[in-house]
Amino acid sequence: MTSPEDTETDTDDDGATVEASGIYVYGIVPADVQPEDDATGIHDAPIEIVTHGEIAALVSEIDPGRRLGTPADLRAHADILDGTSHVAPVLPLRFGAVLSDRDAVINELLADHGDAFASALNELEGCAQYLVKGRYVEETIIREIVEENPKASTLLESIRDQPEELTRDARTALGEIIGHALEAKRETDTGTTLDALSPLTDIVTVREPTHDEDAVQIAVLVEVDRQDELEQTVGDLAARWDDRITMRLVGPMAPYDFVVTPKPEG
Amino acid sequence: MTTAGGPSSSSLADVIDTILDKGLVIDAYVRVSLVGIGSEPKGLSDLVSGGTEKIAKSKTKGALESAGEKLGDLLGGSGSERELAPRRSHT
Repeated sequence: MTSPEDTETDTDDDGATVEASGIYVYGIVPADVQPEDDATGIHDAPIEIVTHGEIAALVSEIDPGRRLGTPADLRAHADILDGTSHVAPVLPLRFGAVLSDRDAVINELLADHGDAFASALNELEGCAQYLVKGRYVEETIIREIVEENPKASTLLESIRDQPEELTRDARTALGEIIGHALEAKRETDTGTTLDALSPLTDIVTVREPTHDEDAVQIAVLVEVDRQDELEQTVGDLAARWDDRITMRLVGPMAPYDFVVTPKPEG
Repeated sequence: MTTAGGPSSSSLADVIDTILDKGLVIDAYVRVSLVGIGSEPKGLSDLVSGGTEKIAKSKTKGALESAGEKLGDLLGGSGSERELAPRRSHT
């Protein structure tokens, strides 16, 4: 497979490389995963694997001098890992991991923790992550909150048709009520969603909201074979909440939310 | 409503929320290799065992394993190589 020209830059017997190059690492997979011949990753570099025993890293060559972090780069990282998650367990690395060469991938990543990686991959076999996301429909949810809360509805009446400079306090108070109500509704609706998902899996992570109108943000680990059931479940919730919450199901994707990185010490 | 036609692909916002602050981190390893310190890097083993624990805690563990076997059979057993799914294009 390797041509003589390649070996000049690939091998590194005396620890010195002539060309500046790095190895971008996407994630860790079982060693029997084989990239498609035409699979390309960040900066359109071909996807390769670096194997060590039962496990392997999905990698591609990268020029360390080239800027990393465009939308295309982010997409490439996600696409490689999510594409793999359809067919094989994969432990995703956070975006931006570059090692000096293939030996470093083995010595600094795969070798020391091979058993732990292999057992984690074994546990993941057959499963992928899906994201269940719901976003409140603003008009509907505000109306609902005002209808349920007499104080809010009184405030709203007092604001209506009044000059803005006279209603500052009332608007602030109304904003607070709505903020708290959204929090409570998020909790309730997240609970409802978790209950609906519970027959499919109990491996779930509730993500923190990233927007006021986020209703539900739940990552689940589900058997790929049961994706139909998952779609049905989320579809039922979407129908039930109709124009109140816009539901989305994203995936299958690599199990980012289930490989836990502890906070650095300090 | 996207669920009727199956899952939607990730938006760029989904991707950013996911890959920038989640996933394994090997920064510590890179630093160790550049500095040439032989000390045991901390973190990675902890995080892997943490993740495994989390999964192992699940009551569905047995089911997961059998599903894994099923998938293996489907793909032709241990002798065959799995193919990485093609990169999906987003237009």
